[in-house]
Amino acid sequence: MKILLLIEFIGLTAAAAWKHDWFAAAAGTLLPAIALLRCLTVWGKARRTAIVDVTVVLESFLLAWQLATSNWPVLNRVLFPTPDAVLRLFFSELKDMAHGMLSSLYLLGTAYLLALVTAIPGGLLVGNSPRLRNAAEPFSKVLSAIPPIVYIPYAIALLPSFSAASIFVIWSGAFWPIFVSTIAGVVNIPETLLDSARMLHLGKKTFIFKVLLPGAMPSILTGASLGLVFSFLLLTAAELIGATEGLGWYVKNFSDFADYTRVIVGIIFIGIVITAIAAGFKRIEKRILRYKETAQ
Amino acid sequence: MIQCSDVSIAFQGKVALDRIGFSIPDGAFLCLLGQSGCGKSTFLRLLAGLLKADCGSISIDGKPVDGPEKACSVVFQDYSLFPWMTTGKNIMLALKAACPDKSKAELRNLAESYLELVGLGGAFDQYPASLSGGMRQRAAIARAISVPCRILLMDEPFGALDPVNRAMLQDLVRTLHADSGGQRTVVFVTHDVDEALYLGTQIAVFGSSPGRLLALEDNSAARTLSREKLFTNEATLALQRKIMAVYRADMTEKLNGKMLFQNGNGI
Repeated sequence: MKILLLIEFIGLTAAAAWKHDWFAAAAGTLLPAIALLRCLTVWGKARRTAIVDVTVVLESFLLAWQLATSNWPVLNRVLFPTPDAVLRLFFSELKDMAHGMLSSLYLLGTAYLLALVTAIPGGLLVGNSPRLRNAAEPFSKVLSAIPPIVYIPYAIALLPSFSAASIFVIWSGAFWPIFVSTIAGVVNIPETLLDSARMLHLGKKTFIFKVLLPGAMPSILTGASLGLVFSFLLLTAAELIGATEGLGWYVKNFSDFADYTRVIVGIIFIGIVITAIAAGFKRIEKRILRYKETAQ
Repeated sequence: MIQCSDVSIAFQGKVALDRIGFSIPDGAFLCLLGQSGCGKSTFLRLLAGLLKADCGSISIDGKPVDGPEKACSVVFQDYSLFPWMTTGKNIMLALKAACPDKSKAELRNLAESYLELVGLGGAFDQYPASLSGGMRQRAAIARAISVPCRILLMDEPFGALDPVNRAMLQDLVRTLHADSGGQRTVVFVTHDVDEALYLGTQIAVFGSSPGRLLALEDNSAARTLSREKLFTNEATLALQRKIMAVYRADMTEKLNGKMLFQNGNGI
């Protein structure tokens, strides 16, 4: 694999340099360089192999893209810009996209936080009472299965502003997975643990915050990460409502103008933002669940 | 004094406990001995107030048990401690609920001293998952005795431990009970006859389907003997034989009775 990577690296750099595609050449060089650095800092053979494998796939993709668009342009030039053009534009558009990102993150963050503060207490309350649980189950089953996009007309008609409507749509996507998993988390707390809690005669507040919430936490986090994915998906839909900026809007807007270079730039940027947020989430999750680590 | 009279409970029509009636004097160490499924854990839950009997009554010092009983603390076979809290925090939580007036520093000191008492001095900041099974049960015992409860209920607490750890914890529990000077009553569920003989001052033998009291034996003399002496002592060995005989009689009675054999089930 390492030899394959070396061949690809030489091939890509040479092909890009031949066409004076300096940005593409730089990307083709940086990618293996970063991989090499990571391999030096990461512990474990399996993880190093994984890094090399991923880099080979990326490098192959870049090489194929470069050859098919720049060196031998067999692909449609409008739909498939060269990697060099995309990378060049990526850096010049960075400022605009960062601005759009803030607008998107405002919608996403507000809606997601709202989903957390409504779904978790609601789920704890419902999960802790068999009667409420039985009553809520049919509703959550039906409502969670409906894609929140269908609420868009009502959201626009009933809510005062575009951002309120977008936040509502994103919220309704993130709410159900968190709500349902919080209930499941409460239900799955081992019975003996609850018996232990009962025998300690804890106050209601202590019971909720020291037993119920942490007991359901592993399941809540699973639901919360699912909710995060859903809210990303809905962000784009929400930005179609009437946004004038934002990541989803950026892609949609330039695809309307057939500016596919900017569309690809936008897609790459969205990918980076989502990956960063998901990685941050994973870190928080690991930190919260660190008590599960067994003795080495 | 714990008094039970005619306590019965059924789950989904199946009788789990049938008219259990006896009393446990203060300061006793009662071992509930029986095979799995004989309802001994159910009986412990009834004592704790975690379950409600269908009929009959349980009272502690004359007061009927109704809901989780304040006089009792419990150690289960597993999941006694909250896994998301360090052992120290687990004990502090119990202490805080029992004595809300104490300051945080006082609670911390108390928790540390109880951990030291069970031989876990350095484990204050460790999570249960990072401890061995034996250490976890030590911490659970520390939490159970840290609160001012007169009655300690233990539900097969050493069932999942290796023989060495089990013997060490048996010694610990025996010593803790002896040191309490009759101030603490222990009800200990086990299916191990030797464990019951070593720990109990009284042994209640339960039979299964339906769960009922077969025999109530006095074993207080055994308390003066060390482990080695105990199992060479004639009286203890006689009691051991007697309990085994009661077990066997319960089993054969069932086999000769209306039990059916199906693919070897029924024994």
